[in-house]
Amino acid sequence: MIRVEGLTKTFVTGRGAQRAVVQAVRGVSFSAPDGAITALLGPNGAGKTTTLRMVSTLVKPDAGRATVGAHDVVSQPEAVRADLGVLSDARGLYTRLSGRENIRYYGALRGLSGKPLDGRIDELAQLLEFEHLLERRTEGFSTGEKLKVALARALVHDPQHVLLDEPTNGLDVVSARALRRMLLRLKQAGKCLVFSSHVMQEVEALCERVVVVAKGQTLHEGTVDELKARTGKGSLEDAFVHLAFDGKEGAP
Amino acid sequence: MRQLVTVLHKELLDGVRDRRVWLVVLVTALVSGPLTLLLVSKFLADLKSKAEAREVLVENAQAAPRLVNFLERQGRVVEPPPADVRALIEAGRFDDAVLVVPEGFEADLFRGRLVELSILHDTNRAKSTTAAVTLERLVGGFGQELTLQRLLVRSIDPALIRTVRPTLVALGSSRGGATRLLFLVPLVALVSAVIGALAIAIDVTAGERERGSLEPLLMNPVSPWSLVLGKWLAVCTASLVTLVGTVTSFAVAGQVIRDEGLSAAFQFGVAEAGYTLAVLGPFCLFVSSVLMLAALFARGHKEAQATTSYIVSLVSIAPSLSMFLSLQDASWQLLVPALGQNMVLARVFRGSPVTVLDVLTPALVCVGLTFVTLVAKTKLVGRESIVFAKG
Repeated sequence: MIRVEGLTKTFVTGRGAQRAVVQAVRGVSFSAPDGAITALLGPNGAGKTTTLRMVSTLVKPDAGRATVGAHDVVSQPEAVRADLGVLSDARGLYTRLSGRENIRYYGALRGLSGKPLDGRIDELAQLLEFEHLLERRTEGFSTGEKLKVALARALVHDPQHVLLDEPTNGLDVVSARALRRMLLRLKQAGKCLVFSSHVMQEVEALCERVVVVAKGQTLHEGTVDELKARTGKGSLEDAFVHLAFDGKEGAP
Repeated sequence: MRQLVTVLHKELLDGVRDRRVWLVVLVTALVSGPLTLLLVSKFLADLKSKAEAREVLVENAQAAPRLVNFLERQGRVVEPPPADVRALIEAGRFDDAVLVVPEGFEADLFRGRLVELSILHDTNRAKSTTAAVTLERLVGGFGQELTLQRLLVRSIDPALIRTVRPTLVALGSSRGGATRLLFLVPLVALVSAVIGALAIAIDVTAGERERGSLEPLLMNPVSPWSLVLGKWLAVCTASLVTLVGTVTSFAVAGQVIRDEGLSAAFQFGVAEAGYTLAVLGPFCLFVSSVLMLAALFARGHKEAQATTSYIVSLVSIAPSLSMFLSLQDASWQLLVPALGQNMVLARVFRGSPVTVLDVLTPALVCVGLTFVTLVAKTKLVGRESIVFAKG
């Protein structure tokens, strides 16, 4: 279970005359239960990525609270990271290492080793359909191939909680389908999944719960049907646009 | 500890597979020593051959038959200079010197007047300067011979004009001239330690962020100390390997290059190599740490290269600073990395006494500063301004 209560975060950008204060998140709250996929929906700049970074302990919130399982992200960051798998916006791989070596590095950092680690890598490669890439250096991998290795790297320790920041961005149909199958499998295994996305069909097909975020605030939290009913719209996309953009497309 | 070993293993594997790291380490370590010695050897040989050259260039030689006769008796062959010799010298394209004989030279000599002889040369070219000094010495000899003849004609004892006679007495260290060129070793070895560490120091810091792997890496439950120490040890390994290679290549090249002048001025054996490694080893630890700290603030490879180039420059000019500012053995240098190591090695090589404190002080300074920079990195590595700085 991931709980987020009133998170806020302000950044200072530039120096001197260029200095500007940006309030990226100004009160995001939601909860993501185990055994479910929770979607974080919002326009660009809504604060989704910053929220996920605060939950993953990389960014310290100015106010509010977030817990992953029983652990607080500010006071127990190591414990949170130990039980969290994150596929962030940055998915850089080590191009001189093979797919297996990339995943093994993260597994070893999390205390795994030997046959259990290699077995887990083989299992993930099979589930994500990239066994043929495992022993190849990742230099020259396509976006989809990189994403699969990065996702396997994030899941190597079989975390109970998984955060995914726009995971299907840039993926072809086949890779996106493989990813969706993986997410459903994780959900069935009772994992708690939170992912941000722009693809409404994907959210509708995968997610039990939807959290709409705009201007750094939570505008709605509930099921897809509840969102449609609240806005009186027939499709998730129309309901989202109505809520996030006050019904005016392109003007949040 | 296990995490530290994991990080170190990954960074070494990544570094070993990075062709840039290998090329820099190999080229710096294996080529810099022999190449420097070969160039110095050739330079010394050229100077020697210029000083011993039989040909001397004399402009308007027909106006000075007695001078030509003197030069030929010294075993020299008098040749005319090229017609455009002044233009060549001014253009910096002439490696010799020219003696210019004025019109009426013989008549002026006959009348006992002081005759001015110009020696044209290029002060920017060592060979030209050497040839000018040779010509000056020959003309001086000719003048002495004339003076002697004039005194004898007047029945005056030539000993009367000899009032003082300077004699050079060498009181240098016991090793004398055998170490004149050893100053090259710290000069090259200090820079090689930095160059060897540079590529990998940038890759594990600015490179990590540029390729987008720092953010996911920090999402692992890994302690900042394991992360920083693992990466630093990998950088140190590259620096130390380059240093050992450079020192070894100097030692081997010193044995292999069979040049009389070089052998006389460059006696670098196992003992000297051992001293060099012992003194410069702690410097490798320090410079690896400083390079990583500097690159940590850079937003990418290019910016990191620009930032770290200041460190490379500072280290490369340190031995020259000591030489040109005549710092000699000022003990405050022991507290400054690079200067301290250079001073201790200079003393060791010339056979001056070196105390344990002289060796330990720069080493402890390096270890202390390394610790401070490592602590700073552990505090900085997870900072939002470092992790999310935009390139």
